[in-house]
Amino acid sequence: MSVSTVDRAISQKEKVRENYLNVAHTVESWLLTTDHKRIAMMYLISISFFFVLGGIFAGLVRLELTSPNGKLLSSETYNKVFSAHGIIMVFLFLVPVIPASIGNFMLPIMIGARDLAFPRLNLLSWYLYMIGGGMILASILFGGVDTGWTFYTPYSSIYANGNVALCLVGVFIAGFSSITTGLNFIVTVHKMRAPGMTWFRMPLFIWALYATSVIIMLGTPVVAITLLLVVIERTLGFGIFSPELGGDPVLFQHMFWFYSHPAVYIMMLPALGVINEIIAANCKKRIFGYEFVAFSSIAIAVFGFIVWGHHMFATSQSMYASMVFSVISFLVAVPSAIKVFNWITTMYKGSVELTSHMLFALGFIGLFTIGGLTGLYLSSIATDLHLTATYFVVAHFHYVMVGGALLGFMSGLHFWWPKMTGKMYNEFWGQLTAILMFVGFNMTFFPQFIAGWLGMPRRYHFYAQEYQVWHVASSLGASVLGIAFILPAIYLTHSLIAGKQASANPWNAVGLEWTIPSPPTTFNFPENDLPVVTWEAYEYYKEQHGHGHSDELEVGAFEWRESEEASV
Amino acid sequence: MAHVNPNPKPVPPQQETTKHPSAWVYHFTFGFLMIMLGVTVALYYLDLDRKTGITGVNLIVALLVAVSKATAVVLFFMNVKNGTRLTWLWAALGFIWALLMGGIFMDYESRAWVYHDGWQR
Amino acid sequence: MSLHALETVGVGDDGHEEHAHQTVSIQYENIEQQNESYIVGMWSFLVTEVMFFGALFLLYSLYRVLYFNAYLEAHQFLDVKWGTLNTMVLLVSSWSMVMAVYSGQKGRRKAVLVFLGITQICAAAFMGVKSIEYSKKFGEGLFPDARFNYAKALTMHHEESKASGNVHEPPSPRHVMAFKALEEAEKAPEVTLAAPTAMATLAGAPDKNQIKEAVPSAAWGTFEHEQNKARIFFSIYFTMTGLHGVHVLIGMLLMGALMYFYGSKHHCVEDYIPLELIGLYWHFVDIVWIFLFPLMYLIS
Repeated sequence: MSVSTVDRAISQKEKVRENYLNVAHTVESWLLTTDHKRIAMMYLISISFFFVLGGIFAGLVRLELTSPNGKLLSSETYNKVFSAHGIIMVFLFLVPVIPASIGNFMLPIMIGARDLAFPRLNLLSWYLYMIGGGMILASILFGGVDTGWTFYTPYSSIYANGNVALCLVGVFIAGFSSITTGLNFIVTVHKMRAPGMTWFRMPLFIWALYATSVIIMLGTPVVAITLLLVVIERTLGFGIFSPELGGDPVLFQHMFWFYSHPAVYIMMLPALGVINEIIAANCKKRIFGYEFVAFSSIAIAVFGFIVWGHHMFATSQSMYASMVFSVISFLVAVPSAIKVFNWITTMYKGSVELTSHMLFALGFIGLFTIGGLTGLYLSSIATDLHLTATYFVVAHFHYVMVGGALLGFMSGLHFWWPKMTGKMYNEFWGQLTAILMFVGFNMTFFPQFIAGWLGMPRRYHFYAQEYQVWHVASSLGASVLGIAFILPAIYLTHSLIAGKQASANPWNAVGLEWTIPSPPTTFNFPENDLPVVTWEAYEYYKEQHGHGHSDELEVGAFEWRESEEASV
Repeated sequence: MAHVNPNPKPVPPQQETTKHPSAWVYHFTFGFLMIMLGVTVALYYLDLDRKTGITGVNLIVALLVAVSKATAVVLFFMNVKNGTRLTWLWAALGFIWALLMGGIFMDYESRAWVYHDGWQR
Repeated sequence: MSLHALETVGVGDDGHEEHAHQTVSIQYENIEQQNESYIVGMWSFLVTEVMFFGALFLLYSLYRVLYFNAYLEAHQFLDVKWGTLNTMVLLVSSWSMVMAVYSGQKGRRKAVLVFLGITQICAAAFMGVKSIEYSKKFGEGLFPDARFNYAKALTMHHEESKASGNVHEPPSPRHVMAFKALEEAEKAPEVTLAAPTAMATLAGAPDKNQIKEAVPSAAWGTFEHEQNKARIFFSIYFTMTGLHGVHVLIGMLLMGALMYFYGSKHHCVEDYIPLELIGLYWHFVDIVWIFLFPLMYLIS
C-alpha cells in the first residue's frame, strides 16, 4: 500500500488530536465509560454479535427447508432453531439496533448536547442488554426454546419443554434495557437541546427516535408484565392464561400484541428516521413537508398502539373487534405513505448522489413499500383468514423488518461510519453490498410471498412437494444475502485498520454532527461552547451560496468547524 | 469513572428551581387521605348496591374515592401542582395510556353479540 | 441519580442552612435543566410503572367482569381490617416521605433522617402485615399453585364465621356446592379418605387429588370448575400484591441507602434530588395500593 507523504502527515496529525476513541485505551475505560459514543460502539459490537448468531439460525432454517422431508434437523430441533432465530433477531437485534447504536451515538450530537441526560443509566442499559442477551443465549444453548418468538400460551406456560422461563426472564431484562434507553432519549430530547434547537429545527431522525422512545416507554412494560405472568404460570402454576384453569389464552395474545405490534414501529421508526437524513444529505435538499414527516412519526406511534387486534383475526376474538382493528390498521398506512411520498418528492429534481448509503436507502424505500402494501392484504379480514400463519405473513414481516429496519440500519451505518470511527470505507464495496443485499433480499423473500399465497404454512418443515421450488429459490437468495452480510464485515473492519482518515464532513451534509471533527471528542462540543442553532434542519440551499462563511450565520458551531478543518 | 467533570459548576446555594408549598399543605393532604380512606371502608359496609338497588354504584363511588386520593397524592405529595407543563404531561400520559388497554374489553364485550337474534340464520 | 458528578460545595450545619446545595453535571447547562431532567426522567419511569401495573389492573378488571361472583366470594378471605391498617400505614409513610423531601430541600439533615426513619418503619410494618396475611392464605390452601384447595378454605371460613357469629356475607352457592360434593364423597365406597368424615379432613390438611379420587361424581367436577375462577382471583391477588410488595422492598432498600448517606454526611446527598426522586417513587407505590385496596378487599 502506498501512502503519500502528505497523507501520512495528515494521518499523523489526526492521531495527535484527542478524540473519544483514543482518550483512553484500557478495558476498564470502555466497560465503565459513561460516554454515549463509547456505549454506542459497545452496543454496535454486541448487537452485531447477536445478529451473526441469529443469522446462523436463519441459515439453518433455510438449509432445512430446501428439502420437503425435513432431512437435516429433527422436528424438535427445527422448532428450536426457528424460535432461536426469531427471539434473537426481534429482542436482541431489531428492537435495540438503531436506537441503541446509531441513536445513542448521534442523538446528543444532533441536538447539540454533550451527552445524554443520564450517562450512567445509559451504561446500565448496555449491561442489562448483555445480561438479558446472555440469559436468552443460555436458554437457547442449554435446553432450547421451541415456542416461537411469540411465546403463545398455554404452550409456553404449560407444555413446552426446555428453558422457556429463563428465556422469558432474559427478554424481560432486555426489555428493561430498551426502557432505560428510551427514557434517556425522551429526557434528552426534552431538556438537553442546544440553544436555538427548537422542536421544528430538529433533524427528523430525532423525531423518529423520540416517537420510538415513547412507544418503548408505553409498550415495553406491558409485555414485561405479560411475560412475567407466563414465567409465574410456568414455575408456580398460577392459572391466568391457562384455559384448563379458567383463564383465557387469547388474553395473553391481546396483552402480548399490545406491546409487540407497537414494537414493530420501535423497529421501523428509527429506520424511517435514518432514511430522512440520508435522502436530505444526498439530494442536498430540505425534506419535502418536514412537519408532515415529523408528525407522521408521532401518528405512527399513536396508531401503532390501537391496531394490536389484527394479529388475532383467526382466534376467538369477536368479529366486531376484528372489524374495528382492521379499519384502524388500514389507517396506519396513511402516515407511512406520507413518509414515502415525501421522500420521493424530495428526490424529485434533486441532484441525487448514488453513494452506498443512498443505495441502501433507495433499496429501503422499495422494500418498505412492498412490505407495507402486503400489510394491507393482512389487515383486511377476508384475505387475512386465508393468509394467517402462512409464508405470506413471514415474507411480509421480513420485508418490513429486514428490508426496512435492517437496510435502514445498514444505510445509517454507512452514512455515519466516518463520523463514528473517523475512517472512510471503500465506496465500491459499499455500493456492491447495497446492490447485492437488495437483490439477495428479494430473491429470498419474494418466493415466500408466492409460496404463502399458495398455502405453505409457516413453521413447518415437512411440506407438500409443490412448494419445494419456492423454498429452494428462497434458500438460494438467502445465500446471496448471506454474502451481502459478510462483505460489510470485511470492508468495514478493513477500513478501521487501513481506511483513509475521514474529514469532519465527508458527505457535505448539514447538521450539527457534521460540524464537529470525526471522530468526535469526548464531550462532543468544546467546553462551555455549545452550538447556537439559528438555522432550520436540512438547510441545504444555504450550502450553494457558501454555507459557513456567510455573514448572516451566527458564531458558534460552524465557525468552529472551519477552524477544525483548517487545522487538518 | 471514565471521565470526570473537569470543570464542575458550583451553584449558589439559594437556588431553588421548583416552588415548594409549606408543610401545612402536606398535613392537610394527609388528613384528606385518611378521611377518604374512612369513606371507602364505610362505603363497603354500607353497601350502596344493596341500598340503592343499582348494581355497580359501590364500585363507581369506591373508584371515584380512589381516584381522588391518587390525584391528591400526585398533585400535592408529588408536587405536580408546581411542576412544569412537561411534568403535567407525563403525569397524565401514563394514566390515560393505561386506559387504552381497555380496548381489550371491546373484544370480550362484543363476543356474545354474534349470537344476537337476526345474526343467526 | 447523578451521584458521582456532584462535587462538594461547603456543607453547612443542620438548621443553619436554608437550602440544599446542588452541583451541575457536565452534560447540563444549569441547575434548572438538571433538576428538571431528573424530575422528568423519574416521571417517565413512573409512566412505565403505570403501564406495568396498568396491565395487571386490566387483567383484574377483565376477570372481574367475567367471573364477578367468584370474585365476590373469594374476596371474603381477605381481611378488611388488615387491609385498612395497611392502607393507613402506607398513607402515613407517604406523609413522612413528603416531609423528608421537604426537610431535604430545606437542608435539614436530621429531620430528613427522622422522617425517613418513620417511613422505613411504616414500610416494614406494611410488609409485616402482608406476611401475616400471606401466611394465613398459605395455611388455608389459597395459594393458587397446584395445591390450591378452595374447599378447605371455604370450610375453614365457614367454621370461623359460625364460631364468631359474624356472617357478613350471604352463604355462598359454591360453598353449598362444595358441601354437596363432600357429602357424596362420604357416601362413595372404598376410595375413602383416612379420616372419619371428609368434612373433617378438609378442615385438616387434605390432598386435593385424594378428594378428587374420592368424589367421582359430577358435583366435584362442577365445583372444581368454579374453584378455578377463585384460583384466578387469587393468582391475580398474589401477583399484584406480590409485585407491589417487591416495589415496597425496593423502596425500603433505596431509603436505607439514603439514610446511610444522610447519616454519614456523604456528599452525594447534599443535593436533595435523590431524595426527591425516591420520594416520587414511594408515592407511586402508595398510589398503586390506593387502587389495590378497594379493588381487592372491598368488593361488594
